Amino acid sequence: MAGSATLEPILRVEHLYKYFSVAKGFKARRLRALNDVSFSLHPREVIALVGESGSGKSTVAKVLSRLEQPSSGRVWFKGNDILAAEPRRASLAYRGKVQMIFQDPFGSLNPLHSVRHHLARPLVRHHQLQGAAVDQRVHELLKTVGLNPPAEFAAKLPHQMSGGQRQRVAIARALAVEPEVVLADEPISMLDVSIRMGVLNLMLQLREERNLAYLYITHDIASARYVADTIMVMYAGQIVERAPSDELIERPRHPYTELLLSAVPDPRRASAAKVQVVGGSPNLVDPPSGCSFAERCPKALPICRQRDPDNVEVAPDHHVRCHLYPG
Amino acid sequence: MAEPLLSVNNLCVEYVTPAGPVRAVDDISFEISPGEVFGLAGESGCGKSTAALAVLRLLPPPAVITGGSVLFQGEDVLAMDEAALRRFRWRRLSLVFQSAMNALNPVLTIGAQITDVIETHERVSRAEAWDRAEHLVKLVGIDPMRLRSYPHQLSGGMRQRVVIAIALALEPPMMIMDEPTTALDVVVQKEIMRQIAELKDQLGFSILFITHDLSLMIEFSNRIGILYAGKLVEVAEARELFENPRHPYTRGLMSSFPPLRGPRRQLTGIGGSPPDMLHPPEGCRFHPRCAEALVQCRTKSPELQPASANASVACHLHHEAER
Amino acid sequence: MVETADEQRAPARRAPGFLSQLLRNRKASIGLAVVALITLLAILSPWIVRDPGAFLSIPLQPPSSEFWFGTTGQGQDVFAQTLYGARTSLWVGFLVGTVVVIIGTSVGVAAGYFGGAVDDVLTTLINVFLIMPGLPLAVVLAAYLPAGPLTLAFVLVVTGWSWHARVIRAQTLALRHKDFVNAAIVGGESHARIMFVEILPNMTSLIVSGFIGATVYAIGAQVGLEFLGLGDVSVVTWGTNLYWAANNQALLTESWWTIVPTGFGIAIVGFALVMINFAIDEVTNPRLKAEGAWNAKLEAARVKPGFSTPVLRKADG
Repeated sequence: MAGSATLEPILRVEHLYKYFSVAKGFKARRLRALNDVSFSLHPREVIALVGESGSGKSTVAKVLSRLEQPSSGRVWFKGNDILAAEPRRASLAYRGKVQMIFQDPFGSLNPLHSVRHHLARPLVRHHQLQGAAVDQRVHELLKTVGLNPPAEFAAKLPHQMSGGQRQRVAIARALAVEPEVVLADEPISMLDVSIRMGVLNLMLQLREERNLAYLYITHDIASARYVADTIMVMYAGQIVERAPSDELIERPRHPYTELLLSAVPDPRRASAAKVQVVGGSPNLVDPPSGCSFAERCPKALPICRQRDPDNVEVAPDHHVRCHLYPG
Repeated sequence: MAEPLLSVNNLCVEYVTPAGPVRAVDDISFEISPGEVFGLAGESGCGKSTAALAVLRLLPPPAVITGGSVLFQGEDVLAMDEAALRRFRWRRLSLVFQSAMNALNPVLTIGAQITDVIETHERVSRAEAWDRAEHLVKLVGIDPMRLRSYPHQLSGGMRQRVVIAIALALEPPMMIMDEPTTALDVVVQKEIMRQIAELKDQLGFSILFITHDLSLMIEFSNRIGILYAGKLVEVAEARELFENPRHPYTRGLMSSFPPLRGPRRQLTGIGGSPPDMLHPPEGCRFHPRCAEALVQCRTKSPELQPASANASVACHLHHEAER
Repeated sequence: MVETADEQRAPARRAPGFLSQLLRNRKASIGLAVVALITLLAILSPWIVRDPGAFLSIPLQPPSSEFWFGTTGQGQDVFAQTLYGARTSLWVGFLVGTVVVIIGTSVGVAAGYFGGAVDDVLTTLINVFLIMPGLPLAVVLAAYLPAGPLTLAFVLVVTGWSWHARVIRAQTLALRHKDFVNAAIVGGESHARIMFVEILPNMTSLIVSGFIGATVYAIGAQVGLEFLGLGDVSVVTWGTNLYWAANNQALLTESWWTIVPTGFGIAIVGFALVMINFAIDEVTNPRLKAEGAWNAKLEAARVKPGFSTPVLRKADG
């Protein structure tokens, strides 16, 4: 089930920073959305990026899909520096390899266009298909994502389908270009609970069939465990911990990860969680130096407010950024 | 057994649409005792929010209540006129809305919004109302200094606490909470739910708790009702529901939550799509998606019948077994 | 897990498009019928009425069997003038409506879609034209340019395009951040395609509504300017009809028939166009339609709608 870590990474992200300028009063301030994000994604690997709203996880997806430009940092796709290309006109080739599934199943389909239109466009644009070949391919794609009979679904408009069906169309659209990497930004959080597993299973099935790599972005760590080999926990724009899924859940190191795990509702737990739950959200505008989690951290040390912690490997493939684990 | 605080009997609610009537809530009955937390669970379109708002007669057009009775402390809410309803709402039954954080008036301070509620319903001086407001926000864990803040100056979690404070303002014996933490982060959600549990123990009110998050509901509720397509398919004590779900839909829902720990296995959720409420299926509404459907499931709609001391289920499979 | 098309669902027809829904709406059909009728009469007027400019009879005669709307202060046929007047007033009105929509939509979509510096420049442009006081500017322009309907059309476009541009820009901004636009960008589509194929069709009702609004504005403003004498007073239009009626002391002589027919014509065209706009509101806001059905049901059960959810028990309930 694990991805082949010995192979070259298909996507490598190095020291991404992203600042947004916000106006607070008359002064222009900077909101730091990404704070030194680095990771690698290998072929056939599923990495989950887990974080709450404001953690920066969606910004990572937007940068990787070239919807946003980072303030600094590099992104390598199969060894090529992709940020060198102009953002909007980012090479069609890259777009043919890295695709995205969005959170809102209704918002991600144009309400006026049929399913066939949505799927035909990428086929025409990236593979220059025409005429009957387009229809045949559209039907194949619909069958692949489990929308049968394909002819009937091809003619439907978005409002004629349920949320789960629309999300399958979105997956089919992403598949149409024959990508190697799929960025899934909260693909199931707006779906009915009983439908979610079907969509996740489809994503896993497609990984097997088509050798896809996924970056699965979510706030729900339980679904992250279900689908991902590796989980990265994000807080205030930084990856604070990264480990294989079960390792992270059984032996979390970072205090924020512990906090997150204790907050997940789990009826199997006989008694309420023991960890002290401390609320609050990080200040991302002109943030102070040091670890962003320090103000909420029950184990904060004086050094935490002075310096950002380094990334340290505490166990095989298990990395933490925390002063409790000095290098 | 104490007299139930709320007794909903055979409630039917329709939405009048140009394409025809949609039976959003179809003949549901349940009771809530004083001090109890009753959860109403289901997915989008199942009718849970509709049922809750119907109890308060707060559904906007094109909703119409077409049958049943809603007895609160013995009085039928469905028979009340506008004046009686105004006295009933908030004083005896209050509501925490789904996107309550966005329902706070952006141009009024939160102190003004809380005192507004108090002054509208009771004859008190401004000073007294303000005192009570301070007491209320302290109860929900907010510094009384923040009474002079505007909603946008507060975080999402704090806004939700303000909304809960407003719902508690007149100390009603029961509150309806419609997805109170859905839009919040899981850590804040945990805090809010803990706060609510504390307040409930302290003040003794009942809660009709609505959410789609079954794990959260089981942790928090005493009893749970599962709604599907406008019908109650199972009502059981929370623990029993978790350990022994009876209805195939309930079991399907349980297998839709991937476990955080424990053995890894493939979960399937439930296949198919939610039904078209304009033309719901004949017989049992769940039968098109049910792997264990019997012949009579296609024609006869099952009634909610007791299956044990703490559980009832509306399913022919279980009715067969009981025989 | 195979996802089958749900057999239990009623066969879902393709929802009728905006335009076909509009045509089915009663308000729209009445409005369109009136506008069509008057347009037809206007087009056919050279063949169905007498020469409006000819001095035919005794001035200021009240309506009679010979002159249905009486005569003007110069002995001209008011009925002929009323119908003829519609020709110019309507074509200038529709022309202005069309050009305003073309310019306003292009600028608005570009501003909303591109954002950044492009938006800043275009928004400044829109705002400059928006705050220019319309009537004084129109008067000044009309006074300096050669008099005539085309000048008026130009003036009205200049003073009227920015409002529509602003409306379109706002809607484009709202649509711009929808995921289907992001999906199109991630799919590699060009800017032009996204603007015209993805975004624009979702604003059809706004564009049609803008066209109608601009037309109503143009007809009214045109009449106003001509009444002030800024049009070409030798051309027969609704506005010049009123100009001449005022000049010929219509009010002093109590010759209402020289004013009322033209005024009525303007009013009824304006009314019909606004009806169509209301119909657009109804069609694009399905809640309004739903409440109609709800009101009907309550009425049938003799229950008065109030603030709280009504209770309608069935006979056996």
